[in-house]
Parts: sequence; structure tokens; C-alpha cells
Amino acid sequence: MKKENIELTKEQALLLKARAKKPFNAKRFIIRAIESFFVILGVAIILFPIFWIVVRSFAPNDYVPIQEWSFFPKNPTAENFIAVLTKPLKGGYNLVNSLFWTLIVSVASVVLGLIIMMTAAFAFARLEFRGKGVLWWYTIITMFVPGIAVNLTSVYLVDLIGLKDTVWVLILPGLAGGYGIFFFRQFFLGLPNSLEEAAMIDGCPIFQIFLKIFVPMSITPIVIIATRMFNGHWNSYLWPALTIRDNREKYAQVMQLLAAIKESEETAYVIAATMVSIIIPILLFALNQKRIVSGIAISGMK
Amino acid sequence: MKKTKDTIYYRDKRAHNRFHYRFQWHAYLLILPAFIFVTIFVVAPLIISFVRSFFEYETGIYNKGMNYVMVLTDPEFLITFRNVFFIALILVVLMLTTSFLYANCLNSLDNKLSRFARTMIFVPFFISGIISSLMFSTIFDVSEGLIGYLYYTRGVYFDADIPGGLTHVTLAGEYVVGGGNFWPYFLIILPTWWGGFGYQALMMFAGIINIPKEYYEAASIDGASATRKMFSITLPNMKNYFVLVLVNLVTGYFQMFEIPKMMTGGGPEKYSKLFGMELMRTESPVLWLYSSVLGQAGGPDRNIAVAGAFLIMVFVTIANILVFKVFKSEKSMDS
Repeated sequence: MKKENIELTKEQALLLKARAKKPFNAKRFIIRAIESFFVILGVAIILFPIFWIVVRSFAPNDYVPIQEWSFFPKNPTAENFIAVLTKPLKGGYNLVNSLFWTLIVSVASVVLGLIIMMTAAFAFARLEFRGKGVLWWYTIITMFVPGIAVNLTSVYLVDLIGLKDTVWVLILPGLAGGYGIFFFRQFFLGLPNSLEEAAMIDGCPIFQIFLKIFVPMSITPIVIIATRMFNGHWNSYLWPALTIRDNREKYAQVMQLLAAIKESEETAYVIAATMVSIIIPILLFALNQKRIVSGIAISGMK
Repeated sequence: MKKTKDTIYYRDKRAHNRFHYRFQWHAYLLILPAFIFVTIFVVAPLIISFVRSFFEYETGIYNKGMNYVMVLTDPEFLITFRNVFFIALILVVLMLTTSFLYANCLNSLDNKLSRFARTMIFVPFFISGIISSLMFSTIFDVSEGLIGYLYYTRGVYFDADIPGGLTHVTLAGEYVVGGGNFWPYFLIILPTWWGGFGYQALMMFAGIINIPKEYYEAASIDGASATRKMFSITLPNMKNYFVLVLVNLVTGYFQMFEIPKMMTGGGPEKYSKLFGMELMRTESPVLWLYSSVLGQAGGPDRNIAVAGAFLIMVFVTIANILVFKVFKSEKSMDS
């Protein structure tokens, strides 16, 4: 018996080992097959619309999939993308212009917002001061109040301050999000106290403790909040529509997209424009997918 | 969770306070930016809104809460609630069941496929309501989308003018398929489900993996079946997640705006029927309230809209704070 075992190849040995651990069970196999089927089905349903627009965006303009009985166009072209990106649109801006400005607005909001939210969260998590409880509820009020109750009036308020029709109206209002402050505070509370105690005894100033110890440790929450904020600003539609009159197409790519679609009746063009708009968020997700997927699920419970 | 920070022995209360509060001014300085932004962009508009909701828009006269009476007696506003109630009911049931079952599948598979699926179903999280509506409207496009495909091959077509929406043309005549006048609702339900499914499934998944494995091992030793485990271990332990997801979904769907605006525009204009009930449109309350500021016809007067927004706020805020409080207290009890 022993001799036979030695003659087995590595793979065969592994297989035998696996089999020995879990004997083949027909019921279990069927259950796993059914589960796999549903998992694959879910992924297919979720990915189908994206697959649809990717395929269609490369189709020539006169292509009608249903008459040619196939999803894949026979002669794919990139002319839709070229048209979308180069054609000057409303207000003399083309889509590239809008994408660029939206990117600037989104990145500026994320950077400023992270600074504001993290400093506030640090103070609430690690420092003691009078009126903490009241200030805490005051600061995270945005978590509970729906946008509609605020937006109908803040439209007039930003006009009063003189922000209307400038790029600042898109950046400033979203900076102190209650959710972000709450999330960072929860994270900071979870870090051990010994971290800053040693530094404090050495006489390290509080701002340096924050910068040198806490910021480098909170990469995961930063990524999660940054993606959420970026996504919100990148896709913002209602707020620019409410607050910017003259060149809303310049600062908000969604508005430019809708203007482009209104001007052109061709479906292929619409689809290519949609594709262009979702590329950057999806790239962002692809780069940080592990952190986001593991983090978002936890963040929901906090 | 109470922090056990002060291990040092303090001789008296004052010395204790001196140690604890010595960075008080740093703290105020750190909070100041957030405080200013919250005050300007959230609290100030809220207070002004509240004051505004008691005054008439055109004349600026105090009208003793008439705005609230007007918005509550406005048939359009009430109908929007009924519309959104039906949409939310169907969506909540659909979302809770599909995401829970899917999370179960992901958990029990726990292999490469499961990990791949977890990433892939999350992609719609990054696509906004506007964009997903554009994607779905190209899919439902009459001439070039999937529905057009149905028309060319099966004779089914979508007609916005016929209240039935999706009609089936045969030699014997036309008859309605797709559950009577459900079609405009379907146009809203599908993109909304698509956009939220991945996130909710991952939340449920996080809930399931948080259940201690020992429970299941003990149940296996006692010879419990899979269904028994599901009903006696998984569901009771997931109770909190269900409550949280339910409240999030209801408050979220209550404020749905982008997808109804893009997919149906609050239409169809004609009355349609669902389960024998007459429903006017697919318009949501928020969509109706915003129509005043977005400069569309048919919306309420601006101060009446503010009053309506306050009614929505009361509902949403109470629900949110209740969930927040309940979860906080349970967490502190656990630890």
C-alpha cells in the first residue's frame, strides 16, 4: 500500500486528501451548484446594463441590434466617442471641458471635506471639552435631516451670500457631512489610547499627534469617505440645477450630458456619452475595490 | 463604550479637570470649520425654512399654519404619497428578500466566485440614478432597445399613450401583458433595485459573517437541518440588520427623485390602475415639491413646498434618530 502511494503525482495526492476530508455528497454538490447558479445570475443581471452600453457605444449610428439579431455590432467604430468628446455643446463647452471641471470640483471637495471632517472627528473622539454632547448632535445633524428640507431654502441662502453661479457653490455646502464625521469618530474611538499617550507625555503638540499618528492609520476610512464624496459630487445633478443658472453645463458633467442628449436624437451618441461619464468612478472603484468592498459593508452598521 | 483613559490618580476634581480639559481650545479650533459649515449650509436654512413655512409666499403675511393645511389637503401631494407607497412596498419586499438570499448564497459558497461576485455587484453603487436611468431607457427604447427586440420578434410593444403601457398585438387584437398598468412602475422599480441591490446584499453579507460560527457548529452537532438553522440562528441574529436596512430603504425610497424624474417624469399623465386601485402617476413627493424651485409647471407654491418638506423631514428624521438610538444602546449593552 505504501509503495503505491508514493508513486502518485502531487495533484493526485492532493485530490485524494481533499476527497478524504469531505467525501462526495450528492446533496451538497447540488446545493452548491444551485448557489453558484444564483450568484452568477445575480452578477449577470447587475452587469447586463453595463455590458449593453459598452457594446452599443461602439456600434455605428445606423446600427439597429434587433434587426441584425445580435448584440454585437458587425463593424465596431469609435466615432461615437469622438463625436461626444469633441463636439462643442451648450455654452460653447464640450464634454471634455465639463469632465475636467467636474473632476476639479470633486477633488477639491474631497480634499477640503476630509480635512474638515477628520479634524472635527478627532476632537470629538479624543479630546474633552465643555459642551461636547450638544456640539456633537449639532455637527452630525446632516445625517438625519433629508436634503429636501434644507435645499428649498439654501438655494436662496447661497444667493444671499453671493455664491450663486460660482464654482464655490458646488464645493462648499457638502464639506461638513455628518456621516463622514460620525464615521471617522467611530474609527478613531476604536484605536488604542496608548497611541497618543506616549506622544503626549513627550510633549508633542496635539495637531502633530493628529497628523503623524492618526492620519496615516486611517487610510481605509479615508478611502471609503473619499469615494463616497467623490461619487456624490461627480454625479451631482440636483444641486447644480438649483444653484447655477448660466454655465451649469461647464461645472457639472451630468448637466452637460443631459444637454448633449437633448441636442442629439441618436441613441448611439447617448450611450457613448453615458459610457464616458461612468468611466472615472468605475476606474476609481477598480483601483480600491478591496478596501471599498470590505469597508462599505462595515460602514453601514456604524 | 466608555473610555478608560484616566488611569492616573487625581487628588481632586479640579486637577482631574485640568488634565482632561487642557486641550479644550485645541478642540474648539478643530471643530470650528465643521461647525461653521453646518451652521451656514444646514442649520440656518432649516431655521429659515421653518419660519418661511408659516408665511404666505406672495404677500409675506403670517397665515397661521395654513401652508401645512394646504399641503395636506392638496390631492396631488396625497396622491404622490400613495404612488411612492406602492413603489416602496414592492421595492422593499423585493430588495430585502433578494439581498438576503443572495448574501446567504455568497456566504455558504465562500470561494473565488463569491469574492468575484462581491466586487461585481457593487459596481452600480458608483452609477447615479440619472446615469442608470439613461442606461435603462436605452434598454427599454422602443425602436432600438430590448423592448424593440420584443416588438420585432413577438409583437409586444411599449406605448406610453395606452394606459396599459405594454401591449401585446396579435391577430385577434391587442391585449395588455405585464400586469395591467404596472408598466410605468416597473420602469422605476427595476433601475432602483439595480442601483441598490449590491450595497444591500453586501450589508446583509456583513451581518451574516458577524454571526458566531459556534452557533452553527452546535446546531450541526444537535442535528439541525439547514432550514432550521436559517430560522433559528440566521434570522434572529440578523434582526438588527433587517431593521436598519428596512428603515434606510423606506426613508430612501420616500425621497426618490432622480429615477422617477428621468424614467417617467412623474407620468404617465393618464390615470392608471394597479391592483384595482386608481393611481394617478409615478410622481414622488420630493419630485412634486422640487418642481416649484426647478421652474416646472404644476408644482406647489414655494412656501407650501417648504411646509411639505417639513412634513417629510419629521417622518424621516424621527425614523433615522430612532434607529440610531436603538443601535447605540444595543451596542453599549453588548460591550
